[in-house]
Amino acid sequence: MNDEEVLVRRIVQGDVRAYQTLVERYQRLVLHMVGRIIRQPEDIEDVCQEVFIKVYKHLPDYQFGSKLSTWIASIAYRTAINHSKKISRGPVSGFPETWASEPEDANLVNPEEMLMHQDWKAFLHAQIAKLPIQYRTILTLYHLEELSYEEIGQVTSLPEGTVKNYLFRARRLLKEALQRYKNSEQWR
Amino acid sequence: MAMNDISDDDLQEWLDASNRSNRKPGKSEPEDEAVRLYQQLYDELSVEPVVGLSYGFSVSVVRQIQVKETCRRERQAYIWVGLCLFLMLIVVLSIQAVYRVNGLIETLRALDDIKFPVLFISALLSLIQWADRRFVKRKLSSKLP
Repeated sequence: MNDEEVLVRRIVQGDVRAYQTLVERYQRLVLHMVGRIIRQPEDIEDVCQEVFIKVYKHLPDYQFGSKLSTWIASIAYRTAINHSKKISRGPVSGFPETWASEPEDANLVNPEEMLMHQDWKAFLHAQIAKLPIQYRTILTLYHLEELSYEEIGQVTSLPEGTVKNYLFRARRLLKEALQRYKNSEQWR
Repeated sequence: MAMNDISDDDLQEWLDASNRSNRKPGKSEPEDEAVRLYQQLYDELSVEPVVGLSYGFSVSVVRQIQVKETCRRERQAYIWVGLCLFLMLIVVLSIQAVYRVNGLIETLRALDDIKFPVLFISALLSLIQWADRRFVKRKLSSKLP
């Protein structure tokens, strides 16, 4: 029995201290997931709390079929998306529905934005925030959490091929935006 | 690797493999604008966001769970008590019906005689319960992590 299994069994038996350990271990992962999806910073902590309360409630049903981190991330993903839907009462991303399927024509950057951001990092983060939710989530899980395509697929309920496709598209869009920004910098 | 000859997807694959094996493109790699931009992008995507959770986040989560659990257990207990009282009434009425005892009126009369002591005891028990909840349990729960 590995460390995670021992921890889960202790929690299911009612050990509250063990649950505190679990929260401390995975709060960074949940924060990254929720932070990428929720646009209102004041709601992030509340949603993270909601995630951990759901995790506690459903922990007796966890069957160790996937990694605990993947299972927690999937709960965080669904909770954050539901919260976004509740807030916006509409599509969860700020993009038209066709955007995700036809991003080749999409242009992330507009000229005013290039002038607004003096720093390329700030500009880049503004572009990331404009991406659809699935793209942002996949970027976070792949680059920050270093999850595999398979694990990301388990979290987002997307096929592995789609995960890879979205990841590559998102990075290409960001790279092109960055390229335009750098080119515009040379003319300033 | 001639960077100009490979597709964008191949370039990303190559950078993924390099970054996951902690081997970032070094000076030996060909100077290429796309590689440089992608590497900047990869580096920035791997940076931890500055936003953090409040200090003691885990403690507040655990406390919330404890409060919810206590409420749930209390709700269950109230349901059981209500169910038991209802069952007791059913049993009493059933016994009287089975043995054809005309005791229902007798029982009510007997209860009428002792109504003040019964009311006094009930009020006293309720007061003890309320004081226990108000002063003792609340103090204990505020000391928990």
